[in-house]
Order: sequence, then C-alpha cells, then structure tokens
Amino acid sequence: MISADPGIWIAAFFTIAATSYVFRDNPAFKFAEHTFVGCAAGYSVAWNLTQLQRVGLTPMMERGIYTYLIPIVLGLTVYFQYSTEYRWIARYGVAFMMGQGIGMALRAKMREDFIMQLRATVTPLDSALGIVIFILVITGALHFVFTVKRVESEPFRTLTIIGRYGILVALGASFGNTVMTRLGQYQGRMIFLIRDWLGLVA
Amino acid sequence: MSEILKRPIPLLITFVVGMLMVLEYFFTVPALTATYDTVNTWRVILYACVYLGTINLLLLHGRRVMRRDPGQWYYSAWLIVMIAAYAVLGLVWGVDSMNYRWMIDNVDVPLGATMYASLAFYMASGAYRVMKVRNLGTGLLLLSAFLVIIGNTPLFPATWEGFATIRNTIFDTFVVGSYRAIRFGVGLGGIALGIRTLVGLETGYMGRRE
Amino acid sequence: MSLWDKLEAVPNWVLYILVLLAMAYPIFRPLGLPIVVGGPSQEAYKAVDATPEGTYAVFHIAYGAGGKPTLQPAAVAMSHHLFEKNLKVIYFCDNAVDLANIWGIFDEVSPDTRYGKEYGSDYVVLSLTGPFLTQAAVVLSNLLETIPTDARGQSLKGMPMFQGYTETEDINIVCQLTTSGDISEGWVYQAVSRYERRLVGGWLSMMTSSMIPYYQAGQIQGFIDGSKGAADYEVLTNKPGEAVKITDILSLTQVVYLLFIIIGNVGYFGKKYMGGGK
Repeated sequence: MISADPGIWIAAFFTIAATSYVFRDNPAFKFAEHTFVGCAAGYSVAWNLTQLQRVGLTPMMERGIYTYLIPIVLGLTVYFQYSTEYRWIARYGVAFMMGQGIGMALRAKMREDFIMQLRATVTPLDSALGIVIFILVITGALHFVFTVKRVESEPFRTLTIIGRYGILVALGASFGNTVMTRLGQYQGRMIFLIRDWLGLVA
Repeated sequence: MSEILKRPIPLLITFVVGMLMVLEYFFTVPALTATYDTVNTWRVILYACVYLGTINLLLLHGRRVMRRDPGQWYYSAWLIVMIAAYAVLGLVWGVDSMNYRWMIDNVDVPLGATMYASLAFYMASGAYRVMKVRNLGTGLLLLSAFLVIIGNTPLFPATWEGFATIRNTIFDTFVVGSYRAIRFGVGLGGIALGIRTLVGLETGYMGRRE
Repeated sequence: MSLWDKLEAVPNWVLYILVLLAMAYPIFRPLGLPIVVGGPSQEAYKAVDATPEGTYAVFHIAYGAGGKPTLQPAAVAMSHHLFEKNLKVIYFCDNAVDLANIWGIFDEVSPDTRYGKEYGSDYVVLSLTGPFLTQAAVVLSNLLETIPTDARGQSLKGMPMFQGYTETEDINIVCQLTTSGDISEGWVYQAVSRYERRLVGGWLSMMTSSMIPYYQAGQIQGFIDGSKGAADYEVLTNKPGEAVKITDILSLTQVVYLLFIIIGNVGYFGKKYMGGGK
C-alpha cells in the first residue's frame, strides 16, 4: 500500500526530480539541485558552529585554555581575502592550514606509498602471481617516464608498450567495478520507490 | 617591516608547522608529541571557523536575486532559504536531534544518493556508444571490463565459479601491478610537491604578489 | 538507414528505460541467487573476529548520502559483528548526514535490546570536524583532550567506557566505510603507518582498484568491496539484509549493460566490415 508518511513522499519527489535530469533538464531538477546545494551548505554551517562551540569555546571558558584564541583569530584572518587592501592578512590562516595539512599528508607517504609498496612488489617473486605483478609494476612505471629520452628506444619501448596494455586491462577492470557501484547505488533508490513509497512489494 | 609580514613570515609559519608534523612521525619526543597534539586541536578549531564556501555561495546567489536574473533568481532565492533553514534549525534543534535527522533523511539523503547514482544511466549510454573494439588496447580494456562485470554478476559465478576466479585473478595481477605503478608516481609527485611547498618554492596558495 | 546504423543509433532514452525496467523487475521477482563470498570480505571478517573481547574498535562512518545504499548494509552487518564480539565501539563521523546514518545503523542493529549494550559503556558516537588526517590523529592519540563531548553533547570523561582509557594502546582495530579516496588512504597513513593499528577498509567498488595495492601489501587486513562486499559480510555474519537483495537485483541490470556493449560492437563491426550507410 502506498505510503502515508509525508517524509517518504518528500524523499520520493526529490528522487524522481533528481533522476529526471538524465532525460532532460527541467524545473523540477533545478529545484532539486538548488535544494541539495542549500542543504549541504546549511548543515555544514550548523555542524561546524556546533563543533566550534564544543571543541573550542566551551573548553576555553570552562577550562581556561585561552590559547584556543590563536586558532580562532587565525580562522578569522582568512576572511581578509575579501578585502583588496588587507588581503595579505589572510595568508596567516592559510599558511597555518597549509603547513599542517602538507606535513600530515607528506610524512607517511614515503613509507606507505613507496617503501611498503616496493617491498610488496619484490618479495613474493617465488610465485607466478608475484612475477606477473613485478613485471606489470616495472613496465607500468616505465610507461609514465616522459623525461628520459632513452625510454623511447628499444628495448625500453617494448616494455612501455607492455605497461600500457597492463594499465588498459586494469582500467577496464576498474570500469567493470564502477558499473557495479553506480548500479548498486541507483538500485537502492529503486527499492525505496517501489517498496517504501509505492508499497508494491513487501 | 610590512614587507616581512606580508610573505616571509607566512612562509615561515608553513615551514615550521609542516616540519613539526613531519618530525613527530619520525621522533618520539614527549614535548614534540604534545606540541603536535596542540597543533591538531588548533587545526580542528580553525577549520570550524572557516565558512568561505558558504559565503561565496551566498554572494553568488545573492547577486542573482538582487539582479532578478531571469529564469534563475527564484532558484537562487530558494537556495538561500535552504541554507538559512538548515543552519538555523541545526543550531536551534541541535544537529543530533530527531527533527534534524528527519530533514537530513528525507531531503538530503535522497537527493545526494540519486545525484550520485544517476551516473548509472550515463554509464549505460557510455557503455553502448564508447566501449568499442577499435584497436588492441581498447579490445583489452573491453575484454577486461566484460570479464569483471561477468565476475561481479552473481548470475554467472552461480553457474560456474570460474567466472569469479577470473575476475579475482585480473584484480590480483593486472590491477595490483598497474595501480601500484600509478601509486608510485602519485606518491613521489606528492612528496615532491609537499617538500616544495614547505620550503617555499610553491607559493600559489599565498595568492597574487602585491 | 541500414541495420548496422540502427544498431549504433539507439536513442539514449530507450537505454535509460531499459535500465530502469531491468532494475525494477527483480524487485518484484527476486532471483534468489547464491552469494559467492570473496577473499577480501572473508579477511575483513576474520580480522574483526580475531579482535580480543573488551578492546576498543574505532568505526568511521564516512559514506554520506551517495554511498548509503551500498555501504549502510555493510555498516549494519559490521556493527552486528562488533557487538557480538563484545568490543567497545567508538563510532565517529564528521557531518550531519553521516550522523543520521549512524542513528539509522542503531535503529537496525538495536545494540541495547539485542546485545544488551549500553550507550556510554559499550559504544559511543563522536562528531568531529577538520581535515581528515587531523581527525584520525585526534581520535587515535588525543581523543579525550581534544573532544570533550560526544555527538549528543555529553561529557566523554564521565562515561564508563573511558575510565582508564589509555588512548592509542587500547584501540585494537580501525574499521572504516567511506566513499572518499583521501579518507581510505588517510587511514593507511595514520592508523597503520603512524599508530600501527589493524585496519579494515570498506568503500565503493570503483575505489577497489586504487586501494587493492595496500591490501596486497598487507597494510589493510581486509576490505568490503561495495555492495558485493556488503552482501558477503551479511552472509558471513548470518544476517542477510539489503545488500543481499541489491546484489540479487544487480544480476539483471549488469546483464543489460553487457548487452548494450555487445549491441554497440555488433553495430560498429557490422558497419565496418559489411558496409552500411544511410
């Protein structure tokens, strides 16, 4: 039986409105799109202000951690981006954010993205699987070397071609998985429309 | 003096804070770890103070409403209303309240889920129009996609388990090998860019020079 | 128009209607196909199963609205497993949608009534903000100092779960379900590299290609591979749910995709080798 819950009707309307774009752009989709952007921006403001109060302002007042004023001031400096004359003040907040972000991103990359991956490439060379992976890693990496001219001549050229085909097979596999992802996502919406909204199945 | 304040000191801040993060990973020194924890807490608080995205949205759509852009201004007005509604109600009711959850579950979730999922249709037309065997490379790509889709579809492994084995073998060999090669490149590129930014060679984030 | 031209020129709206029909039909007539459990899902299950009782598990919910149809069933199945193992679960998220998703998980799992768990003693929900690597560092190493309250505003230090809590050492395993590549990589950088915790991943199937090198290198113990992995986990925990249903339905829609590829190529080759034209 068709649902009497107003929330489900609202959800069904937005599901159909958002899907309608695949057929043609239309006012219902535009309405849905602007609603989505507005919701996302609105709840992120509410969320961040709540976190600011819980993580920053309340501990500052209750526990006397007045050093929390430093990140608050740095955060406020970012708004000087809107001033033509004092735009440079925004660099302080941005510099702190960039330094902290880059430092965090950089520190483990060498170990996890390079050393551990290299070890996993060369250690299992006692099996056919390990040898195939080793060949594909070397040839795949060679394919992306554009700065050394030697790579364009034999025997490296053959290796780069092997690498290219290996990458194409991998991309094909990735496409296969992407098909499953998108279908699975929309499947959830179909189940909602047919079962939860229209009540056509139990 | 003012020239030092405008660029060199912010670059120094980037370097000092960045190096603190990096050094904490390699050295277990209590004072270093304590400073690192403090910087992380400050970063969380700083993040919660920055609303540039929302402000830019309000400026852009606000201008459209003021100018009464034909065919657009009422959508922009609605967007501004939604931002205000979600922001104010989130603060008044609380972002963890049942009422707010109702708004998220019945408006944001169906919209978000459907917007992402609609790509399924574009993939269908892409599969039909673009996935053609024009040469050896595209043939291999198509064959691989075909075998993986068959392996992912429960219908086929249910008839013969070999389909799942083929799919897993493609992932365990070609995907691991090729994506690892890509990951090396991305990793090295990331490290190089990070070091350049920390030492002040990449200053795009600082904006235009005065 | 020759036959080959017609095969190559099927309008998009016809394709979309066929996809919709292929999705709708199995909802009315389920195929009931068996699920062949994959290796990574089994390893993920074993990793959680091997976690000693009473230790802490961090469960990061970060799939938002887009990943909810495929990853929420995985979150439910994994939550069942974590509570069955009597682990102390620290859920955390960084936006209102994921917080709503977490409440939805509890609606389905019912930890209080089904497992006799108590909020604040056996599980808690945290809300954070900030760049992800910073959030991960805070949760793993400086939780009680940086985050004074849970998602409902209740003090963490007053909760029985955090009496005698010694930050990183007490956390035995980190589980994550996300649609973001940065987050799934970020957990490898923080949980595995810096804090040396065991990590079980979970993400959309399309992210598996970029993350599988970490799994093969042993940096990730196991992972849930989108809706297929979620169905596997439901089968392993003996609690079939939405994911098993979705995977069943996927059979027909993926066959339709394969047919589209075949028809497109038949038209292309027919036109190329047998001539054709208007």
